[in-house]
Amino acid sequence: MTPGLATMARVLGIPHPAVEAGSADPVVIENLEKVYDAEHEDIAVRAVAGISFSVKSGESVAIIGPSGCGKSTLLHILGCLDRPTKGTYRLGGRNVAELDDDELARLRNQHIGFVFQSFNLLPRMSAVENVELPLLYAGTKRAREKAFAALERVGLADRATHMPNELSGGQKQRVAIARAIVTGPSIILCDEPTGALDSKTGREVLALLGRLHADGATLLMVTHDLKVARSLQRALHMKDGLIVADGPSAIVVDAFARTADEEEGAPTS
Amino acid sequence: MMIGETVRTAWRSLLANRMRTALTALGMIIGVGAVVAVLAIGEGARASVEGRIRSMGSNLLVIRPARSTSGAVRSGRAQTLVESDATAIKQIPGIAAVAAESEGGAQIRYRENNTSSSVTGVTPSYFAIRSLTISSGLGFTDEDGRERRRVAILGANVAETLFAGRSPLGERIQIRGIVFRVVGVLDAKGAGMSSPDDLVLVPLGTHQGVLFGGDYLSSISVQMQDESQAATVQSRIGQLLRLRHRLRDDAEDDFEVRSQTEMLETMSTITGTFTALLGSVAAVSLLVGGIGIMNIMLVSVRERTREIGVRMAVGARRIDVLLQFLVEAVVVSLFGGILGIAAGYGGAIAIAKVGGWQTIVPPYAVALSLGVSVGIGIVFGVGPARSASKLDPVEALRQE
Repeated sequence: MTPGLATMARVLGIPHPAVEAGSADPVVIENLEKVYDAEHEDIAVRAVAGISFSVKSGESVAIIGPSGCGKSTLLHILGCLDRPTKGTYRLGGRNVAELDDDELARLRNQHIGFVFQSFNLLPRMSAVENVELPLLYAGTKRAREKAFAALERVGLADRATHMPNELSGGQKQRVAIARAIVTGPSIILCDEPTGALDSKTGREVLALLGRLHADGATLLMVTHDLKVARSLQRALHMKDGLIVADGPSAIVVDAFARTADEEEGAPTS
Repeated sequence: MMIGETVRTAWRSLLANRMRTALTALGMIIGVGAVVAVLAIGEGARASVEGRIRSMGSNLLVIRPARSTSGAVRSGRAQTLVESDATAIKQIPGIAAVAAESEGGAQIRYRENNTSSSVTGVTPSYFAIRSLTISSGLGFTDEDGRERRRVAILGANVAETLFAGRSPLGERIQIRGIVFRVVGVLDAKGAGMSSPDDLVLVPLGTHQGVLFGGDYLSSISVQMQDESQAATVQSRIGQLLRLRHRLRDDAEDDFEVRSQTEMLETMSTITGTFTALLGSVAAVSLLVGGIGIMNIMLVSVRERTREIGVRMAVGARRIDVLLQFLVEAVVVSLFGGILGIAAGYGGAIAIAKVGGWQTIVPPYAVALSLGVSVGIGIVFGVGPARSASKLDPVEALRQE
């Protein structure tokens, strides 16, 4: 569903799926729950315990919170790698719960770009082939050309034919980012994108993500690094599967840093 | 994903583990190679038998004693044919020539050289009917048989074994300890089942009177004037022999008359059965090759779980993952199959050189091997490929 079409529908008062959902935002989550071992109540784990939020197009959002608070589970559901137990998740206007495996794969391919902590490049493929991979699954024409263009955007056009083991950590992560943006996704999901990098290359990768955001990309990032979280527009603070704070990142991160200080010494700040 | 891209990916991941791929393919190479070589031997045997039967001329009938049966048990051939049967048959219209033959195995000696061979007693017409030509020396005459002369004509192989290149003409050899003079050597006909190259021929009278005793024949060869009369001639021979052997109306024939076509059919059945039997033994090794492929694919899926997770994260559908591993299995088995065909060809040539058997790789064996290779890749690859496609992407990504 294109936001433009939805806007037009709203203006004209025509019923439209995205309009009925109440929003044209790329990500809309309502009362989302993820329960592991749901069939055994005594040992059931509610990793995500009923949360609602939406992400606007062009927004950059950090998800922070202690280990085990449900961040990763939420990210997997947002990335259509996992399904919620309850609640609805609309990605680009489509209710993910209603989709079968193939349609989920298509959503991951078209609407989501993943950036992982450990890069997850395929080791036997050159940089450009890694970037090309989503396009091959999509059956896109002139895939190689588009992959080169994406590498150019991350400043690695000159490393296109290098294998991953010939690239530095920062370069690998930039290739991974190129792979994430090559299909023009609705949202880029980052899982600790600087976690495996030293601080200098970490800053470079963040700067690159910042540039992409400035160009209009929607970012959602799980991070432990509060400095990184502060550099985004908005932050969600999760605890025990719930969102305990949601607002401008400076305010949410500062509040989180204080509670963390009180509980167990100084976290990274 | 396009199939070309999938094949390329499969080939590349196979190249990444060269040794492993080579060993997996080796299972298929051995299996396919064995099947192709066995089929080549079978086809060669069939062709050589057919060639031999055809070379005897298409207008040939062979009369042999019937197999005697007692109850359900088949025993050897009865002794029913005698030389006077042959003489009588010659009077039937439409018959050009008749030869009587009697077979027996014996030890042949020339000085310190020894060989054991089939010694066949024949009438002089035998050579013309069986299209045998004498490369040096003479044939037999009617007197040779009547007077039981101790003369012999050697097949090319026997001559070579005993005389090792020297001329055997006029030399004395011993058959069953009795001295014979070599009067001729046959032209070589080439290897194969019951090749005349391995025969020693003596006059029929000598064979019966001096060597083995008894009046009985092992077969009578009849050359017809015209092949189109085969059915008539065949039935008249039957009637004549029933009369001569005084068989009652309800008694079964104690002989069988077979045309060359029937002999060809019988031989094809025999060599076909023989080939199928050996081929199915060889095919067992294909099964082992397939299990090798399955094994390596299971290992591969486990090792590349994370890769599968990444591919799923960037949009691979379950069918894409399934196809990727299935194509990989098929590529290994087809690769092994193609090399196996080459190995089978090589093996067939080696067998022909070393064993002296005629081998022919039939075209259907190549098509069959390729088809079976693909089939094995699919059958043994689909299990591991399915398990790869069923992986949970979250779990797969978590894998180290």
